[in-house]
Amino acid sequence: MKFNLKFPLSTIIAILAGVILLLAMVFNLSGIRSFMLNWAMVVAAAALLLGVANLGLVHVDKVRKGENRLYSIALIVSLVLTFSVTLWYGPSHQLPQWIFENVQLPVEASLAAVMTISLALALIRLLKRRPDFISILFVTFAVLALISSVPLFGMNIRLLSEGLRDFIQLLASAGARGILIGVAIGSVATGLRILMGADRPYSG
Amino acid sequence: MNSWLLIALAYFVLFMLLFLTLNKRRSAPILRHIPAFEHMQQVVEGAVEDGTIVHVALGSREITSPQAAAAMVGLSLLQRVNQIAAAGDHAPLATAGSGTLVLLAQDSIRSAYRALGQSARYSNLFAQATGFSPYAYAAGAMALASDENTSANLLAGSFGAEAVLISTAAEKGLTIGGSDNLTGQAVLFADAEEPLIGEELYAAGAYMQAGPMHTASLQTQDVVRWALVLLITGSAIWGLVSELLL
Repeated sequence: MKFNLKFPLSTIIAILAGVILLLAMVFNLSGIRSFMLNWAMVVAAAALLLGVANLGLVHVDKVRKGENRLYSIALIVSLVLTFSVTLWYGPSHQLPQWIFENVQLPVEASLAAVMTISLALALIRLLKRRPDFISILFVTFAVLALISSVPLFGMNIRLLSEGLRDFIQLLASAGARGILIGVAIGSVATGLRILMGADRPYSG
Repeated sequence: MNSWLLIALAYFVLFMLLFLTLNKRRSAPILRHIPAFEHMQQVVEGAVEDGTIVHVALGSREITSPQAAAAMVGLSLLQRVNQIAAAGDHAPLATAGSGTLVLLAQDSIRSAYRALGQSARYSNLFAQATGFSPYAYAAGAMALASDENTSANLLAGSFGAEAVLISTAAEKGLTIGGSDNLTGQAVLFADAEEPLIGEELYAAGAYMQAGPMHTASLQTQDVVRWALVLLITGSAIWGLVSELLL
């Protein structure tokens, strides 16, 4: 897997693709836009295959080095099995669907459950790590948002469920807009740096 | 035709070039204090000295998605971290949850090694795919984050709530994290030692001395932000006044 995206070819391709896509968007050239996006999807699909190969190689290397060997063997076996079954029967067949519904979904659901506990712990850790005004405000509003979004001991108290929820939503949406404006400006700046060839997060 | 969009972008580029020229003529501007970036530089240099690993988590969003900009910032950061730390005993490791990101991360790391004249030390396994859905990616990255040789975890990309799994696993090392996603930012604010809020993630290049254009674009971002603040405040006041008087 040796890839050498060398300057200036990779930079020229990146800038050209970006400029064409931008112009297609500005001048509503939907044909060119969908052509470019279709190519991007083909490239992304090929890259996904290489990514899967990388995942396998990382764990083969771990098995060789003896690091958490059991987990890595389980991953390689599952990867080969799922890949072969899906390749043979197609993704819409019962068997790959069964694997998805009975292995992938429950594992992700349990990770989501772990995440809920991790989030609660994170709130407690925040007060321990940075016991300042902003952290206290953050935790207070997180608790108030929780109280306002579920019935309290089975009772639906209107002031808590509607009044408090509206108040929190008002503050949260104002703050969220501010943050999203900053994120949008940052995204535009990053995109333009790449279009100008000033930022090359590849070997160009 | 979205001509307004083109005009706005043209102004953005003009301001960037203007600040680039001005910065060349005078001394570099003083950037506001963001503790996360100071610690980032220290921790990467420290990892070179004590022979530990810096883990750069790039997230699991595709670069063809609208979240690409955050992933690009992560890649720029990875390149800079490698320029500083590639000379150490242990190379910084990158994890990503999409094929394109893994390829770009490998290329970014390889270029840093090539620039240092140490291409022979490079391995494709320095950038690892750990899973291809947000949870699968986080579960895979948790193993590296909790490794006793990992001294720092830099989360720079598009993360949702799954970021908490990585930051919780990284209890031993320092965690610095930023995301373009609101949920991800809230989670990282609570669980990362040094969170990057809002547009701070996009300032990474300027603070990590990735190049003069990064500083110029940061200054442009400030100008645009203030212009928007004035526009929003002005239109709100105008709306209020016109409702009261007209």
